[in-house]
Amino acid sequence: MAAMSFFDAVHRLWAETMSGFWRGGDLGSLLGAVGHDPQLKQRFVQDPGAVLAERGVRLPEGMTLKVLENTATTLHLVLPPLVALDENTEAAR
Amino acid sequence: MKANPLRAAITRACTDAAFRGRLIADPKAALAEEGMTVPDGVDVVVHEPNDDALLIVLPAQNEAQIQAHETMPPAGPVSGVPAGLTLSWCERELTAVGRIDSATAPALRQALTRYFGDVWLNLADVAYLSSAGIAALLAAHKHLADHQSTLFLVNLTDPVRNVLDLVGLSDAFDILEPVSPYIVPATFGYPIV
Repeated sequence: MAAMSFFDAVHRLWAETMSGFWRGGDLGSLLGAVGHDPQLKQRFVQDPGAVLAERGVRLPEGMTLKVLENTATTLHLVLPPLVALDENTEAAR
Repeated sequence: MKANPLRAAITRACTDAAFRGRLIADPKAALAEEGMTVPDGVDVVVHEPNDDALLIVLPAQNEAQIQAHETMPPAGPVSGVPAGLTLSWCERELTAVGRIDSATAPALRQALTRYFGDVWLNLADVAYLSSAGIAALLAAHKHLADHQSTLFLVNLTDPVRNVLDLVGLSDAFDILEPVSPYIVPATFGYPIV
């Protein structure tokens, strides 16, 4: 099996994540729209709260949103929380 | 099946604290451990979640996807599909329900080759894929690839997966494996409800 290229892997990471989101209502449609609307994307990066409000997407109370954009030279990865499986995991922290 | 080393690294970082530390400290070296070579000139920035802030990462600007907007499929059911199959667009996802056989494959092919831009074909409710159906998928795959776009197959049932394995085409298509909802934040910070 040929190794996956870096850019293919990044594209696929996005695709895997989006596959659960297309039917996610307002957020799915917003994320779809930013993919082909550079102006909307720019506003979403600069003022995510305003764009969410326009689209009727509500954040949980007390939460803020930060939007990062990958570029040809920068990849952002967001890690899910660490799960402590056992004492060894804890000890390794 | 194509395994995604980036996904593997993120998944490992959820449970392996030592690896997580290395991934944050030196992303390129840690990704190399998982078989992912980051090209020179590309920076990788790793973010840790914070209880009060959601992080959403958007893909890099892609000219092909922007142009694809001109041909966004209209949301809703596709008309003119023969009995036995229904097709329905939601954003860039086409959901097929029923059988993809010699009677219905042409309609699927037509639906997938009318537009371009990345397409997610959801096959969760397709339990039969004939050779005509495979030919339709190959035609769609090529059409989208010719337009710098990708056909992603998602939620394959066992019968459909077996057929693609038997004819040796599993690696020809971009088949997405289900991702744990827990791992999804890797792109979106926390899910927004």
